[in-house]
Amino acid sequence: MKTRLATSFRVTPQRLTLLLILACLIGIYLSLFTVLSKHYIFGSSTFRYYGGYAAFNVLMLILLIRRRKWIEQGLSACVDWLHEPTDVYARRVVFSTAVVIVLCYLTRAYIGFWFPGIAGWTEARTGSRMVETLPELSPEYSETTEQELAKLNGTIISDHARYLSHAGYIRGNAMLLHYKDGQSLPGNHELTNFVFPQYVFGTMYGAQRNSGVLAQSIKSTLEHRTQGRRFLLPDSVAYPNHSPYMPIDYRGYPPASELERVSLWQIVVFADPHGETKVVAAKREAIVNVLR
Amino acid sequence: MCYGNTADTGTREVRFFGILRDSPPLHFYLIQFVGFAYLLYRFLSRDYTVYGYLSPDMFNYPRTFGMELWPIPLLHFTTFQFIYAWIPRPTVDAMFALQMIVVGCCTLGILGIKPRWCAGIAFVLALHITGMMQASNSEVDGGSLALCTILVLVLSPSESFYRLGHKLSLSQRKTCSHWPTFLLMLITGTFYSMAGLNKIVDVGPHWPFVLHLENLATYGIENSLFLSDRYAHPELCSWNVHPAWSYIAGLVTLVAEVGFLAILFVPRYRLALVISLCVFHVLVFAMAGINFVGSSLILLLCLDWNAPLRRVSLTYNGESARWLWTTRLWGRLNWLGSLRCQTVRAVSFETSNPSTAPPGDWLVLIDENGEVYSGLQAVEQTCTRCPLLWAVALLLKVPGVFQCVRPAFDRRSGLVPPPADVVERSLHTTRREAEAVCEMIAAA
Repeated sequence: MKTRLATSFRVTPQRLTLLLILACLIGIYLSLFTVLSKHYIFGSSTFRYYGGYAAFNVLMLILLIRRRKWIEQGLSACVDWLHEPTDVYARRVVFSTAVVIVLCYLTRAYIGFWFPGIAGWTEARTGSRMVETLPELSPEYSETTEQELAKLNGTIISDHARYLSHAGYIRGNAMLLHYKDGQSLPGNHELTNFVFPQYVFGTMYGAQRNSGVLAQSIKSTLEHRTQGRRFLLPDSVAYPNHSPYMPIDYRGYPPASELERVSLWQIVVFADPHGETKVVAAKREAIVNVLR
Repeated sequence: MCYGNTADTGTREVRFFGILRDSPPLHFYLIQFVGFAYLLYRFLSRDYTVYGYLSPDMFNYPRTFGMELWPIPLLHFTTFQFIYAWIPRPTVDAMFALQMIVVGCCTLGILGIKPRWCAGIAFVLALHITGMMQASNSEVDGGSLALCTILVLVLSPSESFYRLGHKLSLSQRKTCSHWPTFLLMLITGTFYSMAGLNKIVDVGPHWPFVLHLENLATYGIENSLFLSDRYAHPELCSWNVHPAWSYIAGLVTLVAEVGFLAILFVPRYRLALVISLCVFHVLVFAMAGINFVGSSLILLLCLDWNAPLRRVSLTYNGESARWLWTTRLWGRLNWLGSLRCQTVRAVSFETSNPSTAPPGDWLVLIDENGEVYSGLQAVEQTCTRCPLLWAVALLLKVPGVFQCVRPAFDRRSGLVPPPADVVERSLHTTRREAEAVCEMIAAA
């Protein structure tokens, strides 16, 4: 029985080729299905993205079918190597790993510890946010007081304006942490410890979908950061998050238990490489209560 | 034992790393130490307990980019997220406990206490926690290579590991020290080669010319004004504002990524490829605020760390006083004991037929793994074995340096390539010696 089973699952070049063909077909089906069902706008970046993978798999499929004998010869050498009687375990592990890598790539499968590689993109559409004149602002901007603007000045690093080529207005965001004693100090989404917080909160600086999670995660992280630690290691030597933010030294902040509210803002900054850089307009987008 | 092609004259550049070779255990020990230490470092630095705050409906794979091809991502099963169909999601305290178990396992693994078991537990738990991240907000967090390194440890035989209470000996030669090293290099190689291939599939082979890093540099400088934005190093960004830099950086990245699998075949460019991608990670961190810098540790594991320990036999056949002096000097600098220098008189070549005796002076080096080197390559390999000459060996690994130095070396050294039969006979001599060493080890 055992021998019969072993024979039926024995790796052969023909079976491997069929497996690769099947993987190509799955990849093509999934890419086309996704493209056709969700992103059917011809020429869009998503269409090109999935269309590219479908085309790649079609090419592989043609290669596998048209050059089948040639490919089977190559695979035959690998299979012969696999079936040699010495170091059986090592051969199986190395061979299986190689097969999993190829199958994952062809089927675009994410399996947790492995995925089909970081995608390719360009920065062609990334552009400067700076404009020369103050942009038209919605009425909410006028509700912000001078005192709040002064506090929001703490959320920018005016010194970095010297790297700009010219002066202008830049739109950006800000997070303020409000404490019981009336202090309002800058923070950022690094405190949440999520790679892409917008997927948890619906938006980065708009109305928060899960404001309770935002409050809890910021408060628990602040407990470490106010003591100069990033979780269990000193901040100076700890490994930064996958999506690091501009560094803020939280050591001088009041204890996390004193945190009362978190406010999220849209701000407009006038930046001048040779002069003063400051927040000139701001609009509060959301406020999250921390104390219950 | 697996040996190289004996007909080789010692000057080729393509030399396969080998899968089932006997090798010293140093490289695998480094994989064990660095693999555990890197995962420990990540889990001591990052707070995964925040996933305890999320309600079950928030683990809905919202970051569909790349994963949306599958109706239910396979990682839902491979990271064991499916178990929460029956049991409640862990609380903050439970997440902390899970994280501490990973920390404990990594610490024990570094110390060599039940390393394979520790790797197994650390892998399953770290994978599970990574699955939570993937299910709720991101498809990657730069930890794939860390997990793969731990997986390589899980798959490695127990006798490969250094273990507390077992005598540590770097003079052993074991196949089980070599193939896991190959496996890690294969995984790392394909990880980067796939990323390079994706750039071609997604954008096209002209990717470096449409990359426009200068846009990112300008954007990064503006980002650096706001404490709420992703990290950008303004000074570094200000250096990259010229489009020419973008072309150069893009070309280097694409060549290094697509060609990274060459670490298994072309040892000369291994160092250059590794350094290029380490620099790439630092630049991505500084300009785009994406942290893959820790992967540089795994990249460094792709260098041939066993090279200084592998025994080599260097033979010089001529009468030149300069080369006799040089080989004697190398013999004195052989602090690691892995180099055996000999002149032709000390070697029992059976040159019974004087007409087939090799013409001219030659230098041939035979590695215990069966690779044969001659001329400048032999000098380079010798320098690898002498700590005082490591700088020379490293310099020769800089792309272009070897090719520039080689004509002058060939002209001025007075050396000729050794005849193929000399290489063949030298190899047989070394093979007998290597086998004798293995028998001694086995007897011990």
